[in-house]
Amino acid sequence: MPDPTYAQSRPTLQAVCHTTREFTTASTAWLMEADGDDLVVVAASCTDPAFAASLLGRRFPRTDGTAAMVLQSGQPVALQPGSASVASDAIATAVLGRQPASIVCVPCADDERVLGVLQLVDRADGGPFGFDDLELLSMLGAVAGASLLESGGGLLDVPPPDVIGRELSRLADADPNRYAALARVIEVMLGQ
Amino acid sequence: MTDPSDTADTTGSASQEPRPAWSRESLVLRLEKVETIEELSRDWAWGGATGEGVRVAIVDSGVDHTHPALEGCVDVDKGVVVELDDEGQAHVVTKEHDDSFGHGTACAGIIHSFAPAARITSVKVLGAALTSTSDIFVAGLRWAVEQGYDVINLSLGSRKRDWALAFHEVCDEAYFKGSFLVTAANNINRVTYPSLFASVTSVASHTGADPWRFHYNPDPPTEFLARGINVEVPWLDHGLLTTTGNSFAAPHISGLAALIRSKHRDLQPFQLKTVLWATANNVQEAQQRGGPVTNPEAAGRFTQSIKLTGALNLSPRSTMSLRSIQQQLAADADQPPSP
Repeated sequence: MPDPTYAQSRPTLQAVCHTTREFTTASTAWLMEADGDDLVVVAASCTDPAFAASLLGRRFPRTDGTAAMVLQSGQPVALQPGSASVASDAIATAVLGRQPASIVCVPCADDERVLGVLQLVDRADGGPFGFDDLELLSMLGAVAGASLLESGGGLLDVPPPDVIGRELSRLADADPNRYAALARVIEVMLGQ
Repeated sequence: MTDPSDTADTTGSASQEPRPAWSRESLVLRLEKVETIEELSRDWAWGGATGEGVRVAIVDSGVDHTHPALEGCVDVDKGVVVELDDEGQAHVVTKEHDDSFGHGTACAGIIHSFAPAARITSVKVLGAALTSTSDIFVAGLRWAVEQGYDVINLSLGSRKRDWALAFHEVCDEAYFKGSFLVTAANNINRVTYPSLFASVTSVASHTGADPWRFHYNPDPPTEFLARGINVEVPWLDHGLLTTTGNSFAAPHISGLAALIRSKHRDLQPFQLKTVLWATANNVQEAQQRGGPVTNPEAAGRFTQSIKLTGALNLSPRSTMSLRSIQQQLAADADQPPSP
């Protein structure tokens, strides 16, 4: 069931989906934002606008498929099935209701974090997505990352307190001066 | 090669403590023989080599050791997974595991295709059950360095600046201990760790189709370009996929490094990188032509040139992007496969 929170179209992300789909001749493009344990579709483009709209707000586990690999590794990738299927890409299969013939997936990131992924499937000519596709998508994925950050997307992906505590502990050990500066900033923010 | 009568402290210790630099009597560091740049041919570098005796670690999503394309080259009993304990601390656990995405199996397949006798160990840091935070990456990489793997392939990276120091330390440790660490470069001009460190060898894709063709890139931090487009690789379910990305360029250089290492066991990482430089197609071709890296027609646009008189000519400094260099080199690229 789509999350109604995300039913509202976000123009910049929508434009990224449209542009990349038209450039690559992909049948469908969607952009997912990392939200807790999920990836949620926040923009989509397809020849059938109603279908694209129906994708908004759909949630998938952030551990599934090509999108999870890109989210975790930070590396863009283009895949085309050979003798193997890409059935392991559960998200693409769930979105399309079938296995895609080709996939390209790039990270949407700011300078520090991967906030989401942009995924496209099925070039019109039936061939694989190429280097030009990957490069353009990588650049527009960066634009999408900035847009996700501006819209507060980064806040949705804040690590849980135990992870923050662990990172602070590590920082205190590795770089005490920087830790002290950070602690001072936090004190000021908390009004202490 | 150092004088065998003088073996004291030349290899460094396995201690985690920082090691000082110190001066030594130069006489005891006398070398018996060194190859000249002109001798560093492909035949010298890896002719007749199979990867025998070389251990390669793949820090990735796991490796499907049962994949037929890998022909049993994976040391299953040595494979490790980096896990987080209840307190969130990363621990390296030795255990058999699968490949969550296919990415690690793909890297293994490429390396195996170059160095079929090399033994591969999977260090799993990506996967469904892993949050794959930077501490997991670093823990996996550190383990591989501590184990002294000859070649370490890392087709992933982290953007987190807070982890730059940790990555830097472990990459320097790899460098000083003699592990040749190969990383995939970012596809766009963004900072990722550890691909921008001098102690690693950072690789991006060129646009050619010959797996044996690779280029030296005189505009670091990306130092080499290898095949990374439409590469057929082993994937999940014992199948094959056609893939594109820098992730798949890096293992081409790792495979070559494994070959070189199997033939020249004593090479340190900087020497291995020099051998790769000397045997890169554009360097070899420049040597044969006695001229610039690119064809004369393109010389006006491609202003960087390499002359193998021992000097690297970088005047004027190119403002061309990596992409432009890739395209330009591709114009020279399509020749028959040449192992």
